[in-house]
Amino acid sequence: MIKKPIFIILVFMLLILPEARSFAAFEMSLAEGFQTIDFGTMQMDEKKSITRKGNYEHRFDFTSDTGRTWYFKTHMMRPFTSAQHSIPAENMQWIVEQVVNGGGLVSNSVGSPGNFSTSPVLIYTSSGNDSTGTTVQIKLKYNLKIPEYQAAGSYTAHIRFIMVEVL
Amino acid sequence: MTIYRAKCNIIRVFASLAVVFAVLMPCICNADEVMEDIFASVVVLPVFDINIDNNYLNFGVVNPGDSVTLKEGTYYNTIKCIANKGRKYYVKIHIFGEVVGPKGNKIPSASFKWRIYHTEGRGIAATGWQEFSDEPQVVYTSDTEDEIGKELMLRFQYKLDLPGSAMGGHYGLKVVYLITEIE
Repeated sequence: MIKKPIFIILVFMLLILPEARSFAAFEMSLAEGFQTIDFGTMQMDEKKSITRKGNYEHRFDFTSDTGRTWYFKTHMMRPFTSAQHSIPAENMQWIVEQVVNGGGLVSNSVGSPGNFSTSPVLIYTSSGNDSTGTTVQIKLKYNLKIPEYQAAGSYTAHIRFIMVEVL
Repeated sequence: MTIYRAKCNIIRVFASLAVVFAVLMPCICNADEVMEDIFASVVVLPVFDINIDNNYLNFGVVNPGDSVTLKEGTYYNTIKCIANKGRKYYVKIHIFGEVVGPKGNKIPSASFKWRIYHTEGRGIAATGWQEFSDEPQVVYTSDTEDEIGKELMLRFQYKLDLPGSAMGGHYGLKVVYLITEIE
């Protein structure tokens, strides 16, 4: 009968611990910039960079204290589309302008453009220190090149950025 | 008493396993993922344009009953069209104003003829010699590639079949080329 309190404590731990685990920090936020990237008006064959925050467009903040490697990825859920016309995902590029507080690896190196794709593309791989609770900042800018031949119209694209622990 | 102790031991083992399970499972299975959705927009501007390098046809001095082709064996002029409105368009041709000829002599527009010498456009191009008329005539009907901004190039030849009853002399005319969405 003396063992009963121990049993109750163990059951309590069983219920509480998974919840306690979920309090571990694993967060990504759009700290600067807008939810829409507006390239405005463009002509066929024109190339434009978007940097509304000085030399970048978005700042994403990442915090993880799980101790595990995390990855920052992106993919275009829906390429630029207007009625039956579309602009290939690869015509838009992301560029990491700066990484603050991060010791990880930028896939295309800082300042070099990488193409968007309809499948996930790796932007950044964290290093060990990035998962100890510090906030890593990644500043991005974007390029868009309108194809040489492109129907006129108002195009929109849906882009997803993901922070994930699975490559 | 022994049975009770054995039961307690089993419970203790299960409880310990449950704790280990509870601690490790989030680490093993609960690989975290967070996402942020962004929308991007752009407006691609419309283009609807035509360029002609030379629209004056000078046949020089032509004798009655003669047939004169400008720059025989090659083309006389080139027109270029760009349109990206995603809709069908037509290139049309017609004579502009009066035909220049000997004073008081009027010859029918049909004496002047045109034909497409060369095009890489995949639309429907008029074939063979066509007589001019006072009304615009369809020269070329676009295909989908032309309609998304691919430059269309049309090279033309022209000739004058001067009727035997007409007066000999210097003949010339101006031609108008149109790009239109109206058939």
